[in-house]
Amino acid sequence: MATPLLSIQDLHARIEGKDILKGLSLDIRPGEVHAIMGPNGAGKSTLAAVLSGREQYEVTGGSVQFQGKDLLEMAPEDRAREGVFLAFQYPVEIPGVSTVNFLKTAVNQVRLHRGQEALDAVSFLKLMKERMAVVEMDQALLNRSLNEGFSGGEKKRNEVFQMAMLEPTLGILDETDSGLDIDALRIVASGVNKLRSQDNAFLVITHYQRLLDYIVPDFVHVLAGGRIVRSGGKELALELEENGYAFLSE
Amino acid sequence: MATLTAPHADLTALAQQAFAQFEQGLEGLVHGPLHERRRQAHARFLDTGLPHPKAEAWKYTPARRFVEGAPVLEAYSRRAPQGHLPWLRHGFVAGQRANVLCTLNGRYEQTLSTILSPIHEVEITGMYSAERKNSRSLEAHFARIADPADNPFVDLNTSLCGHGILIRVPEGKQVRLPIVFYHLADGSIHQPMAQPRVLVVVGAGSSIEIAEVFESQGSHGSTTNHVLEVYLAEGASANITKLQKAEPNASLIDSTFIYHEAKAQSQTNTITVSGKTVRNNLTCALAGSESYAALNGLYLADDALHVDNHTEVRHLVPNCQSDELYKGIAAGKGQAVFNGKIYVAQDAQQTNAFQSNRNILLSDDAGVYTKPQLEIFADDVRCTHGATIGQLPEEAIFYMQARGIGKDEARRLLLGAFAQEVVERIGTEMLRQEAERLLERWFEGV
Ligand SMILES: Nc1ncnc2c1ncn2[C@@H]1O[C@H](COP(=O)(O)OP(=O)(O)OP(=O)(O)O)[C@@H](O)[C@H]1O
Ligand SMILES: [Mg+2]
Repeated sequence: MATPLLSIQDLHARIEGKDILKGLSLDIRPGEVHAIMGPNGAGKSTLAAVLSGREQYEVTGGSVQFQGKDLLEMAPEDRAREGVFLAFQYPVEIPGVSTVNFLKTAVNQVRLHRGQEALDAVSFLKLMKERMAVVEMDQALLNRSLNEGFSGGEKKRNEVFQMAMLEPTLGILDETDSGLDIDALRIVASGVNKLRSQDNAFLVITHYQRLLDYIVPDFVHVLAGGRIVRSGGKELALELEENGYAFLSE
Repeated sequence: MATLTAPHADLTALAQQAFAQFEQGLEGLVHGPLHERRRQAHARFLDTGLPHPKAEAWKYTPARRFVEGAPVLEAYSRRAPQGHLPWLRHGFVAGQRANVLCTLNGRYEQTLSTILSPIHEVEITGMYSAERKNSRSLEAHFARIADPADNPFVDLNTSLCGHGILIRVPEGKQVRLPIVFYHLADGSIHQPMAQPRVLVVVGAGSSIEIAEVFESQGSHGSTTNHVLEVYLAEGASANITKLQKAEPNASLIDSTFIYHEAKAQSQTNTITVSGKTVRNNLTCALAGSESYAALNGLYLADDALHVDNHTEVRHLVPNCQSDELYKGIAAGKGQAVFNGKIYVAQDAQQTNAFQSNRNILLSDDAGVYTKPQLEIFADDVRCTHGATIGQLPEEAIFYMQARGIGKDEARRLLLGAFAQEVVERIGTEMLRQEAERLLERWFEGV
């Protein structure tokens, strides 16, 4: 078996003195797609936040290795430059900063970190055009301030577009399907599928089995009470869809 | 108990001396109509003196800060320009298509100025010779637009004014090239208190673009006490940008008064990036129906710079509109003040007045005092105002970090976006670029 891309061991994390993650372990190997499901408030977004380096969350135990490096030691921007991408559950609106400008800065900082040359305006626009096609992103949106006044679905699509631009090794999608209409869901999911390769992996957080019809996971995990309480194949999602989380209280 | 305040000059005594000396040099002009205004201003200044530390309008910016040290009050002097002036040769206006007018320690220096616009578009004259030629514009408007109430520095400037600049645009002219003033304070020999003065008279239906750049040099420091009067005849318009970028030992009082006849329009952008203590007084009188004033400001306070903007919009007649947007960033121990007064006279019905002041604090020690001051005596008025003081949004910084953008770069992007809303209103490209460059540099440092 390939060595894990991401290896989470016995992770404990808290926010504002409240323990949320209580011993979570998970290995993700290159080429895999893992889905995480679980009730509201279980700690799914907390896991995403801890992996991406949000300061407010305090890691109180455990470890996270990413490509053999200690992820928890890294500043958030370094995690992103190393290839971790979080598609936010609630993307942030940034008035006055255009999506294009923002992405140009991001892409070039990531490229510099990887020892590549910064893209000039022409090659950047070319890359952008190409990746816009992946999620059928509207050019008009990109000239506007980042996410400002975007509809819920437009924000989510913009997250996946940014992911396509930054080509992460590990993409974490936190409820990217919520807020998308049926067509958009199909487009965004097929965008993710186009980005899949033998070298990268995805962690897909969702409440709905439907997304997993499009982005077919190798593993499905149930996160509850701050830990992974069940893991299985894609059929586990179907079972959860049918029966909900009643089994948790049994 | 000893108090630790910097020594400051007795300004009234200095003013008395300077005025006596100045009068001697004026020769025949002392019998002219303008000198009567100077004399009145001088008498008023001696009477009021510096604003009291508790005076409401000077509460957060004590007036004595402007006379700390041993300032030399500069009136009219025939002394040749001292020191060398790197600004003009290397400054951002070098080689640009613009009229460049230079004042050095308050005195108009024709030899350092370049006038490109044809005289049928705009007449540019030293006030001294305009006064000798009995200029009607000067007589009609000099010291008639500026209001010394709550601001004795205006009287001080008026009383010592003999070497300012008069700009006159005839009717129906569009002055195509901008007029850029370089107000230079040179503290390399002593500490001057300079009194530059400009009067701009724009004829009916004409338009003009003006920039005022404030700079300084010299280890002795300086104070510049500037007065700009602008008269806009019916349908005239003026676009005014101020770039205040003096050294950390140079202070500035910039008092600007704009008088609007019917359908006249003005836009003033006041950008304060450096200096020691900067006090801006901007008063827009909307005295003719359907006139319009836009007041934009951007100020950056830090350990070196204390900045105070007092604005006043006077809606005197019906159907006028004013739009005001001031934004500020305070870093380190920086302190900034914004006081925005909106006066609506009893018959100024159908007034639209908007005011917004937004501030970002970059440290716990930074502070902003903001106050809208509404005096509304008409009843059919749309007036909105709002003031905010906040921090850079953590959420946005993290979002950018999560995309690989470093924290400092993220902060710079956010500060740039915050400032951009004001900067993009600067009409003249070279000024906008210079403002952007100065902002970038400041953002790098905080
Ligand atoms: N800033 C905070 N202060 C206190 N508690 C918080 C804070 N942020 C999150 N929590 C709590 O942490 C718990 C886990 O939240 P999290 O967002 O990780 O849940 P989730 O599994 O993503 O839920 P959902 O499915 O609703 O998105 C919740 O009980 C939430 O209220
Ligand atoms: Mg969540």
